[in-house]
Amino acid sequence: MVRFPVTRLAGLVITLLAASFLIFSSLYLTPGDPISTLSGGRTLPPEAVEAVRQQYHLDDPFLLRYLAWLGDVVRGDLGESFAFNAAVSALVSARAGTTVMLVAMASVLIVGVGITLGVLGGIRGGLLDKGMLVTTVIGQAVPSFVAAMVLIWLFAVRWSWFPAIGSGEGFADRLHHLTLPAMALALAYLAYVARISRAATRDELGREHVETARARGFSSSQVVRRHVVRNAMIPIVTVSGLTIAGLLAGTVVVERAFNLDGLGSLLVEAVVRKDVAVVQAVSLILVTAFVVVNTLVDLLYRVLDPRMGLAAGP
Amino acid sequence: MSGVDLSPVEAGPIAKSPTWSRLRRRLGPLGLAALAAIGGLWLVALLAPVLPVADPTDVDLTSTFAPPSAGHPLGADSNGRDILARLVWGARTALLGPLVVTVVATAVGVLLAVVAAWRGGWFDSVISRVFDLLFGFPGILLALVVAAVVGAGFGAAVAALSVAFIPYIGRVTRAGALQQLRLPYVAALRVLGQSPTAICARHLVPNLGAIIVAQAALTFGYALVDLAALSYLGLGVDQATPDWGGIVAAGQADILSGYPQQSLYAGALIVLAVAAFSIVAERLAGRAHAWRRLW
Repeated sequence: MVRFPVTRLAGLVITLLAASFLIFSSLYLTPGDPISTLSGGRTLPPEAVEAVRQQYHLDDPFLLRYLAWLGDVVRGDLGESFAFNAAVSALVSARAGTTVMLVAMASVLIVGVGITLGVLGGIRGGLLDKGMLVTTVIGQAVPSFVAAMVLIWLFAVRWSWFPAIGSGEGFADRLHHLTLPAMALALAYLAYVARISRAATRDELGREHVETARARGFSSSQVVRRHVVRNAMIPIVTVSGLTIAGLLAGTVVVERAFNLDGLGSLLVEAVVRKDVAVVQAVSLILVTAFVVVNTLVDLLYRVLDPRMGLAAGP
Repeated sequence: MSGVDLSPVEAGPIAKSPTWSRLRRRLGPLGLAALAAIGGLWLVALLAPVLPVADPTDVDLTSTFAPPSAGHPLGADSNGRDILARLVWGARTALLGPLVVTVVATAVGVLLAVVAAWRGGWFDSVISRVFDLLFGFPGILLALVVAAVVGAGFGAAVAALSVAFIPYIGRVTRAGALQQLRLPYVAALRVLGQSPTAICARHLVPNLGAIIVAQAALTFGYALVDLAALSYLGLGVDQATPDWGGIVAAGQADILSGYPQQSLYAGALIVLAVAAFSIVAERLAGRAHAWRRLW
């Protein structure tokens, strides 16, 4: 029972180490002085140069530098931002709330609307199913920033139901402000989850045990609830979970489109202002969140499907 | 766009070749329509200099937000630039970037995957680990990190995404190559004295052709979205050059003043291109799961 989670956790740690190493080494992509890369070409006073030298342990060999940096990161010390003139950790914690709420709202949309549509289409068939299939094929091809433009045009400009920009103050206002961004972020993933849900439901409908249940005279709602949906949920949950992990990178574009004060827009601002410390910190956070959610989904999948067994397989 | 002679595309004798008819059956009517859309977009991009459209950079402040007319078939933007011309010229960078990404990622991905599958051992484990790691690292994030260090631009974005998409091709190819290596023909060719390079280049890779092409078409669609997104963020194609992603961004302010045309048209072209590539990829791979993408 214990072996699987342990090996999976070891894999998680290795992936995170490799990803952090990749992010750390990106600083050395350009030849030349890492101090000038970190400062984005700004001229720094001597004491600031000394501080950077200490923060990044520039007098040590490369591998030691990485380990020291990793140690600082794990302790929550993400360095200083020159462009924003603040501690990176303070910048990040001020911005994280918006991103978490945005991702949560988009996830609710994907799971609620995507799975419902997919399962209904799969069971009902007919016109609903056909219409859904066409909509999802197109929906999957809509990048978030294009969806954002359409949503802003329709719901912010023509009908002014929702604000076009900003994150809002207080919970209800935030909910109102983040509705369009969450829809833009969710759209393509929602279409994908709907398609997978439809396919999974159809697969289950054709199975022998469903036929048997029907033949034994169970009502069709009972068959659907007990035998079709429950089994179809296994692939659906897996795909939805992975999709939600994928939303994290999508926030980069959506937050800019709606001018939100989240981590994604912080990342883009930092890239524009060539603030490498902030870029490294935010990308590390996004990748870590992605890998952790991925692992959780994998564990959940094994809980949902007893055949897999927690002890089995890599 | 008159004066474009489409006749060379006519099927004619090609229709009789078995590959074409097999391809046609596999694609089906929807897939063929998607293929035609892809061809049309490429044709427009290639022929932009000779097409009878205005200069996309011509600023004319007397025709700000001009409605569609003979001079401006789709109207003009906030600077009085011709929207149609900007869309036509924007197709060039919008399609060229993903093409470079797809070609590089496919070449490197197939090479690494086949060598890893053939040699096995530590080389295979290392390559597989690298593929897994890169696969979990979203392309757009990699492009942002690279842009922060070396400076934002079209070249940096294309280079970063070329690396990021290697595992999309590599993982599928490696799995296919491992299956092929177990087939008797490989052993037979070895016994006949063929070199590993010859076996892989002449037999193994061609046998995986359909999967590789399908995955490459899928990669093209994803790369198009990511590059357009980077241009939209102002971190891809420089703003002076028309590009679909950049046009969407340029038109965003105009949406608020009630002129959504240029953003929506450019967005529609992106959707059309991505949908067309995805449909072709899916039909070639013969399964819905070709759509799978985590990021």
